[in-house]
Amino acid sequence: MNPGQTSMPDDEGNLPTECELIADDTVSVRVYDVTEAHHLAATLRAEGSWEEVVPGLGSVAVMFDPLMLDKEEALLQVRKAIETQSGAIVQGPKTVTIPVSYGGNMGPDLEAVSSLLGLSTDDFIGLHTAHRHTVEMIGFAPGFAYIGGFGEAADVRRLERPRMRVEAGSVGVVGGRTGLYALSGPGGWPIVGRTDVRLFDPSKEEPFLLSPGDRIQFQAV
Amino acid sequence: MAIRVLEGGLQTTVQGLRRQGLRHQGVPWAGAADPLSLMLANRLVGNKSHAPALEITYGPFRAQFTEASQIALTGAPMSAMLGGHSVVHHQTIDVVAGNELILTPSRTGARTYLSVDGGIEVPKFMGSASTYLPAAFGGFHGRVLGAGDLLDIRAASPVTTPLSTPRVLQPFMGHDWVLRVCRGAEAGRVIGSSWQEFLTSSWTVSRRSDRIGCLLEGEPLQLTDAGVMKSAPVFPGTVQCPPDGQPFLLGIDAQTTGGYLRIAHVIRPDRHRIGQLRPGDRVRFQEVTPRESTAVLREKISRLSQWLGPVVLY
Repeated sequence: MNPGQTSMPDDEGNLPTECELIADDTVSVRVYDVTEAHHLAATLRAEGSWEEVVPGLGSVAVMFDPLMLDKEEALLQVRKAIETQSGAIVQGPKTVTIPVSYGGNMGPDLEAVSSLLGLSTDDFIGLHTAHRHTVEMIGFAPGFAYIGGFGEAADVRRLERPRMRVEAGSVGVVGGRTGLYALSGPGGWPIVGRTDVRLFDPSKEEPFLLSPGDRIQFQAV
Repeated sequence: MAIRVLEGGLQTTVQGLRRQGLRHQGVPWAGAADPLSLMLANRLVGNKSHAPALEITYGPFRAQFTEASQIALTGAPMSAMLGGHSVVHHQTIDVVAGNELILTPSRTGARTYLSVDGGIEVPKFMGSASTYLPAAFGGFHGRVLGAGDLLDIRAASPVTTPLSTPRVLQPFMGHDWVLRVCRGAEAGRVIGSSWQEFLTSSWTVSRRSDRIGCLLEGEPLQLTDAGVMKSAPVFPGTVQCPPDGQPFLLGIDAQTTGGYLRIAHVIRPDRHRIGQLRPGDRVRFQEVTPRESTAVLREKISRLSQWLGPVVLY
């Protein structure tokens, strides 16, 4: 992070702040974007002294053991990492094609999302499959991919009431991003379709199919 | 040595230590929902503090032991019969080959821990023996236990002198819980009077409760910009609040990031209690500062370590 960047508002109009405690054992650093989140997280993780270092889309959370490190020391160490970070994420991005069955039982929210955006369902599918998307983050659950690059859907919000069960392979859309559910479980993203690609396979040595930076091409089937 | 499960009940899994350090890859912790009760159970049979044990949710549960051993029960106080005789929690229990253990659902608490001398033998997956059900990995083939399952027990250490947990260290079990919290990352988006309501209300644990978290029922909280939120890291103990104003308390299987406001965070020394909340229980939240929390944690660990040895709470 360049010192100059810290005073620039992000896309929600918030000024990036340094860092703050968000629990008795967790420091959060607001970052400018997801790339910076991954750089900072890589730097912090390399220090090896944290229980967890988790990047989000606009912040990085760092969990420490309060008996090993008091909160002032924790904040100080995180600030130091922000100043000295030079780490880059070194993972060759790959291009992955994800076949999707849009609508129907597979995508119960396709119609609602399309009409919110003033599109027919066919136009929605056309747009979604025309773009090249990029994986910004793996999180929320094993293999759950946050995929950026669907700006037309910027106004789509999470469901008022999350579903207790979303099927594995479900494709959701929120706030200009696509989310891929690797596993069945609770979730709050409106679901537009489903893929049968396995995003997480515990029997493999590399259990996660996607990594941050990967390019995604959706294909209607 | 093995345990043959005769009846698994609602949800019985193998749980040990959390799966730490992989949340950035979307891998939740798992592990005992009440890690303190797991440690206390292992202490009574001379195991390492987080050795894999059985976590039995609500019950009923029945199992048979193929050989003589020692076991212990902690957590939710289910009534227990072994070989036809009643046995109590928080004590080392001698088992004779062929003994059958029968647990009957309790009225308080949610999860009972059954430790066995030597610990349950299951392969580690991504560094932990603990079961993570949503992804079907860890523990015993990544699943709940049912009738017919045969669990191997690790070669046992020499027989321990029977022990009992000091009464003062036996964790609270009841229907009314107080959980201390620090303000969360988005606490500022709860409008002022609603924050006071959050702290003074009695919240009821909903039936929508599991190892991932508990939905809390009560007067909905008033939020500003509730739907505007970049997905951000969450942890066991985070209290999230969706736009409908009904808070959701995350448990040990909590997902790694989420998009709902993080209004509060249960402090580390109180988090083990989350694993014992059952539908219908009432929860009150009490705000403390991070500094106060650390003092509570230090005091609690110093008290526990006299009995347990080195203690890690998370």
